[in-house]
Amino acid sequence: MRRAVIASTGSYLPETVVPNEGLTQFSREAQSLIGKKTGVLARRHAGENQCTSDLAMEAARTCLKKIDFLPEDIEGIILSTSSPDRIQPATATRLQHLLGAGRSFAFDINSVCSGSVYGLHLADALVKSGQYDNILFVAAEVYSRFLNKKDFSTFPYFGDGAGAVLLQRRDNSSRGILHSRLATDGSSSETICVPGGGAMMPYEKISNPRLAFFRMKGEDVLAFTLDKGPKIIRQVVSAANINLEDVKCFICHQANINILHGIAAELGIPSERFYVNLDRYGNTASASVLIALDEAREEGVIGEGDLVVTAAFGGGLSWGANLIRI
Amino acid sequence: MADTLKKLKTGIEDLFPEAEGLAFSGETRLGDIPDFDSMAAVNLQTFIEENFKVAIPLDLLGEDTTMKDIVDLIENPGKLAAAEKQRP
Repeated sequence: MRRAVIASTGSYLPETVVPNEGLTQFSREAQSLIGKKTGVLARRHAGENQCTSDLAMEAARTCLKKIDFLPEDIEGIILSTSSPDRIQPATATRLQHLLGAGRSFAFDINSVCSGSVYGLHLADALVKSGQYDNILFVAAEVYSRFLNKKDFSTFPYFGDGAGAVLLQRRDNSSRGILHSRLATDGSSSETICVPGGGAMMPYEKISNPRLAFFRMKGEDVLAFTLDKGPKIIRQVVSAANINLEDVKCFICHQANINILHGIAAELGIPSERFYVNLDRYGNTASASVLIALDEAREEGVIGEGDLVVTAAFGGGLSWGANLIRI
Repeated sequence: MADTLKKLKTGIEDLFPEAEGLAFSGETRLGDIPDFDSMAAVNLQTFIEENFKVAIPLDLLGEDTTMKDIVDLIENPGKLAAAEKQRP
């Protein structure tokens, strides 16, 4: 059987660390609420001259360097982002150029915070199709440029960062992406969105500057993730005839520590088996799962042969999960 | 009162685009504003501090707080101090 195996991972977090106490546009009372409500203690912000493709390039280079994989041998690049360099062309095209991966095709996907699991499934399918021997999947976000700095409903919880995974074809391997499940509820597309700046509300029709920034209905998002998260994890695991107890580590979208604890409780899995780095980086949207996957590998939390579930949920509304044998 | 309420109305319409067209009076509750929640209360707190130089604690900006309550706290430092003393 043909499988797409994770050959390498990489990640990049910008140097600038912004702790909660550094968000001086909010009162001290409000600053103290950030950690209590979400578990986020700090986040990284991209430098003035860094854009999404720059972060993507750093993560991709780290990923390739670990196994001395040459950029010119990459056959395809998929970049997940909901904070692109520009509306067009695809941010992946600049990434391809920066990497020197001239043989590869390159395009973007946008499934907001679920982009990680959507991209893994897509890259897996392309490799399994038999047409490609490798796909570089990168997720990169610079949300600090799309948030209203004075909006306490959004700004404190997000950070910038990028993660990368190189999937390679292996025949008759027990490793690889074993199963994926994706889901979408387009009737709730207003729950998480940037209302202005697209065809629905072009720039000249934006009546209030706040409509050009990212917004979300926090309580609705919390209810959605606590409902859909455990279900999609159960589905992806049971579809592969695997028991939850056999999964070494759950790497979920890093949005809120209470969501992770809630999903763990619903599944009856100890919270310790859920990887957490949101305290250091905040919510890096679609990059969060790939950053966490790379860190979990580097820290030895997961190793070759371990079963891992990746799961994410976000705008769309969209959600999904992958079952992976590392 | 009228000037403060007018400025507060302008600020709320800016903070909450969905509040445009909301019938706005001293009796309007914060809970009447679409999408008002505890996170949005911080945005209102920040607006009031920046524009009126008055720091109102978040627990005094709840859903049942009326515009008149807020105007009172802005215009009467004594009321704000008294309200703060009654906080748990």
